[in-house]
Amino acid sequence: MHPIRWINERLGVASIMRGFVDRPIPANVGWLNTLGSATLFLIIVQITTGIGLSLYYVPSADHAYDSILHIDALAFGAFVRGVHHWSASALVVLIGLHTLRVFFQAAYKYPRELTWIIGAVLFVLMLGFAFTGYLLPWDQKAYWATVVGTNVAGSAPFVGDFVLSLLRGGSALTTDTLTRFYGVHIWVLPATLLLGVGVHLFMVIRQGIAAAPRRKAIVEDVAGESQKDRYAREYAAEKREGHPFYQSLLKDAIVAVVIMVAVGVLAVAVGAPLEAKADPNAVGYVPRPEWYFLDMFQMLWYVSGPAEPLIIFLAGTIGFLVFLALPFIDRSRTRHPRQRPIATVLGVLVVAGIVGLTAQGALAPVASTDTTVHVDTSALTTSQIAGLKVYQVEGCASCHMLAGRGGTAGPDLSHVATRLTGDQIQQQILKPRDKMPPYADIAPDDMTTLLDFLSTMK
Amino acid sequence: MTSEPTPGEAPEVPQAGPPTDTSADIETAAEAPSSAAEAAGSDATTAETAADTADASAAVAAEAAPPQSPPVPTRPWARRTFVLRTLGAIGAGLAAVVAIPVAGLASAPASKSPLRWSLLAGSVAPTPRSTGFVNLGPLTNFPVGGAPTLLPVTVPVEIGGVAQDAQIAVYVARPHDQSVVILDIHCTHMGCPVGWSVGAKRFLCPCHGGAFTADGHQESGPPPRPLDRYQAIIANQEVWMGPLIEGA
Repeated sequence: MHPIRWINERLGVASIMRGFVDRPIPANVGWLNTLGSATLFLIIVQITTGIGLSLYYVPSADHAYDSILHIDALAFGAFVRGVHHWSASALVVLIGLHTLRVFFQAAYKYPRELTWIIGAVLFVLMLGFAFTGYLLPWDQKAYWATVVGTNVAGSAPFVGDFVLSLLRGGSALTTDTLTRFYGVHIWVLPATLLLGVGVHLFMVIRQGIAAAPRRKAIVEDVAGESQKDRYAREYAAEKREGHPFYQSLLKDAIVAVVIMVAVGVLAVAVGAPLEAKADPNAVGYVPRPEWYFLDMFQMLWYVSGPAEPLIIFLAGTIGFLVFLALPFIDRSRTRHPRQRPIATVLGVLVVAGIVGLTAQGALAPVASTDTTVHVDTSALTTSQIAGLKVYQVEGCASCHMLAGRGGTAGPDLSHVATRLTGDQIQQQILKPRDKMPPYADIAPDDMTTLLDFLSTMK
Repeated sequence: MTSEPTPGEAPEVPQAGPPTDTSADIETAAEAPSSAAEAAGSDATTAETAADTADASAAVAAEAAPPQSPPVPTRPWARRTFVLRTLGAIGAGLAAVVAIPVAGLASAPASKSPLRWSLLAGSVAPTPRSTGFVNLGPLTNFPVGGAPTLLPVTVPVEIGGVAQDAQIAVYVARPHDQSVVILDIHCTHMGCPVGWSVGAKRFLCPCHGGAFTADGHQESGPPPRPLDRYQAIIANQEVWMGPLIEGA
């Protein structure tokens, strides 16, 4: 007997398979619908490569970094780690795009509200994976991003310290932190993820794939019809015009192949980055998170003052709750983006905000340790040259650019005289209105020469 | 009586495998009559039990009804609900017995560390906490009013239940002749390492532009409190460093 026939006689899966691949799905299900399956594909890649890495990785502050070096030296080690790293980034992108597709098509509406809610939880789980995952190499980026990340989480009112100690395994960031991040990354999150993905997929198959929104409904309204009956009639009509599911699977496969090739090329050509081993005493290191947390990192520039922890907490909590409860906030029946302009515009604004903050975060200002200034002094008066000296001694170049050199924390002063008068500059130095520290201790003579020097910056 | 099928499900049994399907399904369909018979038998037992246990009205209804539409006897359903709820309670109890100790173990370090239950929670230095006093050398090593000295210090700590030495870094400033200030290197905003800017004569944070004076007071930017300090003692013109004073 043919082995497949033999197995099927005992398992009886053939009919289930046929019900799965032959079931009709709406006609207008297209390339945008491959984003979910691409996310699933990357989750499988992550689990597989993660298992490979776990065979060599040592979760201890003393040995983690060396075990990463060891993995990179093994056959396929650097490749597997590279794929794990790059598909993590790809996963963040794809789960984001998948969420946007569902949002802009309003596919979270009846009867798929619960599918959205579970999806929102899966989205947060994915960020949890990203956060716990990049501490594990125990390099500089890992260590300092975790210092900042745990402090952000610790800003919750009342329970902040408890949350922070829970994340770090105490007040300090030590090997205890590493082992618990490891445990969460390879046990707690994957178990929760598999459960969530299972239910999410079950619901997708049970309810069928949402048809793309139409500007004019495919069925006529019937007076007094319930939401359930109307939806059933509408979806049946969509399916009558549709095609069997297996025809769409080819698109999913093509997207998976493209993603695998891209991730593979990045893994080989760029590899997984690794900075120097974590040094808790590294004064002078400039901490920056992985790109997908740059937006949150950048947001910390804009909220300051005593209420900052509360604002961070409230913004995060309200943002998440709105995300989670979206199907209950947007309860209208319309699904086409042009028939729900408010939601569409808000969605576009949120995306623009995230992209903008990420870009700003990538270019975030840093105080410079190089305080030398190169200015052509041939045209300057004695007083102006003395002012240049004051500029250097007082360390203005730590934060300000002048003729292309200096820090970027403050505004570029190369053309300051075109923007501000001498009095305004003096006011700004003595009693700044913004984030600049006050320099009230500059001697009056030094101030005069400094202003004289800056007046040449046109 | 734990083995269902119940009367309500019995008529569905023959529908389980449509005969148009695979051979395996045909076998299922062939078995269907016997399952139906079992179901009917079980139904009869159900009715008998109900009669035995004095729910006479249900029994009478069961006997009187035509065989195609057996009535739903109330008593086995009540029993079924009871059994399922009991199972749920047992499951929840077992889950709690295992999960509560695990959650307690996971949060053990959190319940041990000093907690501030404040509305505005602040950042916490990631430095391993020194548990004793360490000599930092003669007072004259640190210039009065000059730039703070960045000093690596080996301190006694306890990590993972093991007492050991760890190297940490601190800034030592000497604002006046007979006073020293020992500062943690982490910005009190989000914990990035602050650097002393020789030019600006200030501590500057590379993350969000926080600035602190030489003795650690926050001057500008987002930091909500001064740099954290260590206990500092001058004895016989020597500087001693004690434990970290946890953030205000």
